[in-house]
Amino acid sequence: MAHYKVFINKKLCKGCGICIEICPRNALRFNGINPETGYRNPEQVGECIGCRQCMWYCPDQAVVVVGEQ
Amino acid sequence: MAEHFGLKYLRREVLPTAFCPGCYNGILMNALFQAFMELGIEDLKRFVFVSGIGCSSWIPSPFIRADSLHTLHGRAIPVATGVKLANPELNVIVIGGDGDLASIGGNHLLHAARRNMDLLVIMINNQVYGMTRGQAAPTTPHGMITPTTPYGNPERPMDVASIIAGTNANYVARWCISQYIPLKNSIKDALSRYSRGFRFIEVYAPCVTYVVRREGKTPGEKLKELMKKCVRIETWRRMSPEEREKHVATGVFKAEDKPGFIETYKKYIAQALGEK
Repeated sequence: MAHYKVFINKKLCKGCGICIEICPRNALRFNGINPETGYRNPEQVGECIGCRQCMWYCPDQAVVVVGEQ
Repeated sequence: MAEHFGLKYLRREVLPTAFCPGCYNGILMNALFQAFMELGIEDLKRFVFVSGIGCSSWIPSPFIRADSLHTLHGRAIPVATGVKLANPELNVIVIGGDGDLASIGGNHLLHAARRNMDLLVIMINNQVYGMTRGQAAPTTPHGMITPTTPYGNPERPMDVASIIAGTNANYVARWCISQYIPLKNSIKDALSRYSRGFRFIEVYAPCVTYVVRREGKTPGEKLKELMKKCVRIETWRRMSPEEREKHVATGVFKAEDKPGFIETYKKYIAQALGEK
């Protein structure tokens, strides 16, 4: 079983929530407000299957999925 | 820490982008950058980006790490034509919105397509004039409420991809922003297989602030709705007229490989100089 991890670039994220809604496994969730930007940032809570939809559909180039192909 | 694949094509010092949270322009940027990455283009030295005025014209001008020209409203295509004629070695890409390319610059778009000018034009159809607070544009759907049409839009939208398919353009496609993989493959095709002549890609991406939020939806919900709303053109043609109104036809409208304007022009120059 491959292991994938989702990283959020907190400087670029604007908290639009597309990654949370597009995730087929509901692996992401909002976690508090980033005091530097004032936006809510998501974090990984569930298991990632590596479909990379959050990375493609992130309008601010803030989401990165890391793991073996 | 790992980085997003798009960041190497962006000017980091101007990030984050000036777009609204969730703006679909960023998804088009991802598709464009992934197409560059898969074609093995590491730096954009051979590319020139030309844009006009509007939200989507902001994509190349401060953000992409390449030469770019931010021109007058609607006049992106004439400037791009000049760039391409001055140095035909360059790849010229025009990125603009519907208000810029189809409304004020509509005539330039038509005649560049008629001439089969060697340009790649990406038009983001966000359905309204987003930068000036969401007034009705020629691409606004029938019945949509905007600040200039408070009782619903009485007019019907124009189908820009079909109009351009009726000219001499080489490659015409329309994709929805929710169809990321076909959009990326289409940009790849327009830069590799069909690398000459006029190539036009319309991207259907409703304005997040003045269309999506006015409908009471979040950007993510609208993306999921668009995945059902946008159908391939073959499916769309089999639908009844009522059903067609509710769906968006997407796909490749036209794909040819005729010689572009530059090639034809060079032949005429050689003839005029008496060469064979």
